[in-house]
Amino acid sequence: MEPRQNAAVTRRAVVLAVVGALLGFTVAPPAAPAADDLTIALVAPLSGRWARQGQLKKMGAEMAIEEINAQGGVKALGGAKMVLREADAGDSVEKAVSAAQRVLTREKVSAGIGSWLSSFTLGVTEVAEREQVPWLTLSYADSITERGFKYTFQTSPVAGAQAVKALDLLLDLARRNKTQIRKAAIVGDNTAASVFFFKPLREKLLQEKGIELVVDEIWTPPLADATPVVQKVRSTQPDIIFFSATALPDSIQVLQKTKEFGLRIPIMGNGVWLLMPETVKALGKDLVEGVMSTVAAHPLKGQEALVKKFKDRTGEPFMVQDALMTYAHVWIVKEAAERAKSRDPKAIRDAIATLDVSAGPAASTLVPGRIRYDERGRRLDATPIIVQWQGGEPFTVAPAEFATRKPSWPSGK
Amino acid sequence: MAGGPRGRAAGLLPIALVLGAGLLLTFTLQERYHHRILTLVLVWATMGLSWNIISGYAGQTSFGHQAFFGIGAYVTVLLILHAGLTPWIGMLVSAAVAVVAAALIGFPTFRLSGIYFALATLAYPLILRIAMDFLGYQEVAIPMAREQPALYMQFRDPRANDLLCLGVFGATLLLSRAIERARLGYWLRALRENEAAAEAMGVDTFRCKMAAYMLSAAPAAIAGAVYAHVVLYVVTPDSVFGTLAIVQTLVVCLVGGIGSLWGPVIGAALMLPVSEMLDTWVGDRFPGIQGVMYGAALVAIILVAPEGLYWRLRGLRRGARPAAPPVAVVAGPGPAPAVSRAPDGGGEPLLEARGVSKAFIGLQALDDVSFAVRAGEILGIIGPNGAGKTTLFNVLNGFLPPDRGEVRYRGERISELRPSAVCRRGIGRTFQVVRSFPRLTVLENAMVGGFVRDAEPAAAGARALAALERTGLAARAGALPGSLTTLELRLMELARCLATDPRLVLLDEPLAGLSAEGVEAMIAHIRRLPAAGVTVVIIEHTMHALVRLADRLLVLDHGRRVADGLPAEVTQRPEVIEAYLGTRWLRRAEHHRP
Repeated sequence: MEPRQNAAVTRRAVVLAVVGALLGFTVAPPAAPAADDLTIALVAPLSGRWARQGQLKKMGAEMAIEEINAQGGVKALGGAKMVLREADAGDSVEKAVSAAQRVLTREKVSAGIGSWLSSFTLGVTEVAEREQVPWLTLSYADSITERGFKYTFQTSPVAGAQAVKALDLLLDLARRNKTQIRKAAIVGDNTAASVFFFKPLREKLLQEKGIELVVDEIWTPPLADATPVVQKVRSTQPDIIFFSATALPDSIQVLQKTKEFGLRIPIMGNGVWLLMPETVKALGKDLVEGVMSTVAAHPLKGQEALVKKFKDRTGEPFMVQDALMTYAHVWIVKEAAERAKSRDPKAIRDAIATLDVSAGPAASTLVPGRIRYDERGRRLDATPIIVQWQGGEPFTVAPAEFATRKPSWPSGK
Repeated sequence: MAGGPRGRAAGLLPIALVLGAGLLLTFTLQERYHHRILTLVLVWATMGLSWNIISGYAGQTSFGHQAFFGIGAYVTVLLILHAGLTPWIGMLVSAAVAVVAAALIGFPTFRLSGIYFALATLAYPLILRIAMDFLGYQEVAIPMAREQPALYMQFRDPRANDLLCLGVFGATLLLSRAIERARLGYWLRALRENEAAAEAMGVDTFRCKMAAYMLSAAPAAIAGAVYAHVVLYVVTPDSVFGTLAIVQTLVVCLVGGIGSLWGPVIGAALMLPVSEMLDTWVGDRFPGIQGVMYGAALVAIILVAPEGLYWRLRGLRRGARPAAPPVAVVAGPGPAPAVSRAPDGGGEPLLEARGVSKAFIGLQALDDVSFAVRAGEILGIIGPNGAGKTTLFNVLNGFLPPDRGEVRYRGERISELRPSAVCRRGIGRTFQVVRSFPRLTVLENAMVGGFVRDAEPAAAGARALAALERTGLAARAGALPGSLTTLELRLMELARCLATDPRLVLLDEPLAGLSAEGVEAMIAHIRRLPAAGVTVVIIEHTMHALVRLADRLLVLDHGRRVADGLPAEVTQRPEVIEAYLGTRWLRRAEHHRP
C-alpha cells in the first residue's frame, strides 16, 4: 500500500512541476523591441548537434550590433538601434523552417541571417522568399541560389566555384614554394560535406590541371584502422592529400599515422570543422601543424584589432568563419539600410541587390574587399581562403595579398 | 464510441467532428506560424495513424516506418525534378512504390517474429539513407513553381496547405476506421493478442500482416510527400529517413495510445503544439532547454497514462458507467450454425493419422502414432504428463509438421497446411491453457472464429452470438475475458472454436482447473456436440472424467500408442495402469483382480 501511494504522490509532484514550469515561461514573454529599432533575425542552430556553430554566429552578430549601436545606430533612420532577434533552428529542417516562419511572421524583421547547414538554409530561404524578407547566408551549396529567388544573398563562394578557385590558390601556393603538384590523393569519409568536396576534384578538376589521382580512399565512419590508408599514400607518394574525415577520431587516426610514417606531404581539407578550437583541443597542436583547409572567410591582414576585440569579449582562442561572416552580414544590412533609408524589408532587399561597398567593416572582412551581388544573389568575385594551422592557431595563408602568415610548405622526403 | 446496430454510419460522427474542427481552425487561424503548427499536427497524426495500422492493430512494432515516409518524399520530389510530374500524381506514384516496398520488406521480415521483426525494420531506412547519399541526393530542393504553383502543391495561402493536410489526414482516418471495422481489423487485433490462437482460428497471420503492412505504407508515403512540400521545402535523407521522423511518430502514438485511431490524433494534437510553444517561449531565449522540458512533459504524460491518453480517458469513462456491448452486431440475420449434419458415411474415417512421428532435439515426442477418428464419435486421448498428447494436437492442426507420417482429413493430406488452412477445412481446436484475445470482448473473441465462414462483420457477429448462446455465454458477450471465471473462459474458447463451424474439434484438456460443477457443465456441453454434427477429439489426463465422456479411448505413453478401445476395456489393461501409476500399482491391480 505504502509504495503505491508514494508513487502516486511522486507522479503528481512531477506533473505539477512540469505544469508550473510551463506556466512560468508563459507569463514572461520576451521583451518586445521598440518600434523604431531595426530588427535582424538570426535563425541558426543554437541547440543540438550544430549548436556551437550557431553560438559562434550569434557572437559575431552581437559584436557587430554593439559596434553599430555604439557609433550611433543607423544614421539614415535617425540613429535607429539595431536589434538581434535569434530563433533556434535546432537540429532538423522542420525545426529550422518553423523557427524562420515564427520569427518572420510574428515580428517586424527587416532582414535575416542563417542558417549554417545548407539544407536548413534551403528551407529557411523559401520562407524568407514568401515573406519577402532579404536573407543573407554563408552556406555553400550551389542550389541555394539556383532557384531564382530574389531575396536570398549568398556571401560565400558557392561550392562549385570554391573547388575551382581553391585548387588555383593551392597550385599557386605550391608554385611560390617552388614545388609542383603532379599526383594527388583523396582520403576521407563519405559524409555529405566530404562528398561535395571530393566530387568535383575527382570528376573534373584534377584532370583539367593534369594532376593524377593516385589514391582514392573513402570509408564510412568510424574508420577501423588508418594504417592501410596511410600506407597506400606512402607507397604512391602524392604531392598533396585532399583530406576530409569529419569525425574527429578518424582525423586523429589518419594524422597520427601520417606523422608516424614520417610523411611530409601537404594536407588540404575543406570547411570550418577542421579549423575549430575544438579541433586543436582534440588533435593537439603537433598533429594539426601545417594542415590546411579552405573556408569562405577567415581573419585577413589588417583585422588584428577586430580579432583581439572578439577574443576579449568572448574568451574564444581565435575567430573563425561563422563568427566573422555573421559579423560581416550584420554590417551589410546596416550599409543597405543606410542606402534604403528605410526599415522596409523590400527596400532593404533592393539596396542589398544594388550594393557596392569597398570600405568599412563588411568589405574589409571578405576577399576581395568589395561587396556586390549578382542578379542571382551570389557575391561577385567571392574568393575562398586557404587557412593553415601554425603553432596551434589557424592563419590565412592565401590569397597572398590578404594572408596573415606565410605558408609553410612541407617539402623533401 | 459504443455503437448500436447502426451499421455503416457508426463512428463517422466523431470523425466528422474532428475534421470539422480542423476546417474551423483552417479558416479562423490568422498567423502563418499557427497555420504551420496545424499542418504539422495533421501530417504527424497521419504518420501516426499509418504506423498504428501495422504496429497498433497488428502489434508488429516497426522502428523503420519512416522508410515509407521518405520514399513518399523522395519519389515525389525526384519525379518533379526529372520528369516534371505534378506532385498530385507523383504522390500517388510514391504511395504505389511504398506499397511495393512494403511487400518486398514484409515478405522476408514477417518470417521473423516479435523483437526480431522490430530490429529488422531498423535497417531499411538506414539502407535508403545511405542509398540517397550514394546517389547524390543529399539535399534536394523543391523547385519553386512561379507559373502554376497550385499544380506543384505550392500555395501562397496557408489555408490551402491546411486543407491539403486535412484531406490526407481525413482519408487516413477513414482508412483506419474501415480497417478497424472490417474482418481484417478483427483478425489483426486477434493476431496481436495471441498469434497462435488466431492462426488456429483460421487467421492466416502471415497474409494479414502483409496486408496491414502494405496498407500502412501508402498513407505514410502520402504524408511524406505532403511533408516535403508544405513543411520542409527541401528533402534531405536525414529529415525524412532519419531517427527524428520515427521518434516523432512514436511519440505521437505512445502519448495518444496505440491500437485505436484516436490515439495518434490525440497525441499529435497535444505534443506538436506543446513542442512549438516550448520553442517559441523558451527555445529562442534559452536554446536547448525546450528539449529538456519537452522530455519532461513526455515523461509526465507517460507516468499519468502509460497506456496512452486515449485508453486512459476511455478507462475513466468505462469506470463511470457499466460497459456496454461494444460491437455493432448484436442483432441481424445470419445462418443458424447449430444445424445437425448427417454423419459422414460410416466407412471413410473423418481424420486419420498414419505413422506420425515427431522428435524435438533428443526427445521422441511422437513415435509412429496411427489412429483414425470416425465421424460423430467422441475420441478421448489419455496419457500421463509428457506422453505427447499436445504435440499430437499440434501436428494434427498444423502447428508442427510431422517428421514422418501424414495426417489426412476427409481423404485430403493436411500435414503441410498452415493451421489457419486446417481450420478453414473444418478442424477447430482449443488450448490446454486458454488462449483468449484479452482486449477483445467475449463476442469479438468468438467473432474471430466466425470470420472463417463470413467475411461480413454482421454475419460473423450473428454466428458468434449463436455460438455463445449454445455455450450459455450470450449474457457475457460484452465482457472482457479478464472478468470471466475459468469455466466461462473455457466455454468462450469452445464457442470461438464452434463459431468456425467445424466438423471436428480438438479439445486440449477442457476440464483442467474446473470445479466439480464446472466439470459437469463442461461435460454436458461436449456431449451435445456430436448431435450437432461435430466430431470431438479430447485430451485429458484425468481419467475418470474421460471414461464417462468418450466413446473410445486412445492411450499414449512416451509418444507411442499404448492402447485403443472402449473406455471400460482400456482402463483395465495392464500397460495403461503401468503407464499411469507405475509397476507397483500394476502389481496391486493384478492382485485385486478376481
